[in-house]
Amino acid sequence: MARVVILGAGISGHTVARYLGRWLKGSEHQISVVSPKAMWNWIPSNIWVGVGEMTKKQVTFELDPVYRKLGVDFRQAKAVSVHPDGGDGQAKPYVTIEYTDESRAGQTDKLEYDYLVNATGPKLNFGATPGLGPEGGHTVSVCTPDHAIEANEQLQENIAAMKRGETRNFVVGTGHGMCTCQGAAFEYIYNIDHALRQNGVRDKARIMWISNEYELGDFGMGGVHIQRGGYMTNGKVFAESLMVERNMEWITRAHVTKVEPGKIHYETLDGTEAELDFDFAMLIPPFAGVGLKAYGQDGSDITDKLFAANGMMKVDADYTPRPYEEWSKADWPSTYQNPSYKNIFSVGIAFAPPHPISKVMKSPKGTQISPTPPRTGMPSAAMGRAVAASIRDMVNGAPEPTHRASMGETGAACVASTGSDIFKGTAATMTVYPVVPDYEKYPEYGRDMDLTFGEIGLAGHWMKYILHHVFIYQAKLGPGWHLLPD
Amino acid sequence: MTTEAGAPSEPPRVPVKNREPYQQAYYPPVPTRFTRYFRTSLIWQFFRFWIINFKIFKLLSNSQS
Ligand SMILES: Cc1cc2nc3c(=O)[nH]c(=O)nc-3n(C[C@H](O)[C@H](O)[C@H](O)COP(=O)(O)OP(=O)(O)OC[C@H]3O[C@@H](n4cnc5c(N)ncnc54)[C@H](O)[C@@H]3O)c2cc1C
Repeated sequence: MARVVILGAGISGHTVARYLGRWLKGSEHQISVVSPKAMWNWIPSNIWVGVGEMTKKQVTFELDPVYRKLGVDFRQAKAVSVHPDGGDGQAKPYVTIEYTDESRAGQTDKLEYDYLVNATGPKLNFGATPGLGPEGGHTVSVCTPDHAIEANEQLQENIAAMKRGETRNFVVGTGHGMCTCQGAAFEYIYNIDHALRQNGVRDKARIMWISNEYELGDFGMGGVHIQRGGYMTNGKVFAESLMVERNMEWITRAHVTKVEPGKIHYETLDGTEAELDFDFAMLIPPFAGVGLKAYGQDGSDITDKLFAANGMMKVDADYTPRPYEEWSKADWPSTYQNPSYKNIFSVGIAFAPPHPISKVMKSPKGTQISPTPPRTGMPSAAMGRAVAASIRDMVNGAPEPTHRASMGETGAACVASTGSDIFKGTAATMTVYPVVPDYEKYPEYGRDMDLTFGEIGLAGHWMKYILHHVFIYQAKLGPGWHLLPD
Repeated sequence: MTTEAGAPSEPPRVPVKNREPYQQAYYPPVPTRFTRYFRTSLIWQFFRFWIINFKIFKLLSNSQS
């Protein structure tokens, strides 16, 4: 009998749990999921919570009943440390966890494993920028449903002020030079624009975008090329056009250094230091690993054997530092297996990427102002499914991982709503294939030009809406869920 | 552009004025009325819906192969 422990029940961890649960159901093997929140959250729809178009209930559901259907043991707890060689009287590898459910809050436990999957996602590292974030800072966030609720409350207060005739400055973007997840902010800025227009106060607002991208539309993927109007053009044109059409302004190549009430301080790549006034700001924080520690059998700290300096877990990537011109898709992991411990895997945002996808840029002061690599929903699910299949085969005797999902061979699709109305709404649909450019297969642009495209229209809005329901149905394990694409 | 509070605003007027030349908004393409019409034309978008779905499906199957 093998015991599989999955840390994290987000997009990637829940995908591992769903498939492994289905494939190993009825066998002697045991699966446990450890996650600090009782609820699953369809994170992309937090954007709609952040403008009051959806409630927390519409974007979350309880995990425990779903796992009971699959025969998966759910622990509402956070993982604290990994002990891959056992220790403290235990011969087998184990993780220590700290319960977060009300009845056992603060109690700790040890969970032995034969296979471990780290899918703990990001630590929202608001602390990296003084004054950033909703918890003790001066900006809002849409990264969790509760953050999004607070963002909407502030948005509604500002709308009420504008209805009284006051003017307001809205700033949306990234809150640090090394952020990723620009897509979420990109979607939120259009939803704010739409909400203001619905309330008849758009003329009272100045809407500004601020980000660490070299150019708009970089999205941490080094930008994209698409076919448009008879030209092969850059995604920058597409992104700028969307902003100009909606009367928005933008600042790129910016690292937010500090946020004070009503004032954002930032530095740009050319060394300029400037300030930006705001009444409402939603800035995405930088991401780090969640801070798991690792210990050897003798209790020695071996965290750096399992984790990179940013707290993300080392996998089968090539971490040799190389100049941008020598980056290749071959550097990217494909099995997500830890090189030191073959029974440990890491998927989604929790794995340490070998290098960014966008070229690393530094200001004269030496501040890095360029996005770190995104690991959006589609690649996170693809990794989760591949790792689940590999573990299924390994518990049945395969000597090594049998499935692969390199970001150099997987695509990403992002549908950003820019106004929600079943007849008049639109959304920007953007896809890239592959996420990590492959200049060997696609020498000119590094990507397949048929599968890399951008389009604005009502069709995208319908898709966004349908995807919300389909993914929640699938995550809840509705009948036939496994037949739906991830 | 001014609108009465409570009523949905008109699409914003694009601020491409060449009085102060070469500002940010001067360079990017701005959709024409024709392009904007097709973005919400039910018949055209119905076709686009299936085409986009087909492409995303292809993207997914390439990613999982
Ligand atoms: C507002 C927003 C909108 C987005 N929109 C899109 C979109 O439209 N399309 C798209 O493709 N992607 C989108 N993304 C990105 C997408 O949400 C991420 O790619 C995806 O959630 C990553 O999955 P993950 O499993 O790695 O992390 P998560 O989904 O964040 O899951 C991490 C899990 O680990 C748990 N955890 C944390 N710490 C511990 C611990 N110590 N022990 C155990 N468990 C722990 C968390 O509670 C959570 O359950 C968006 C992101 C945001 C913030």
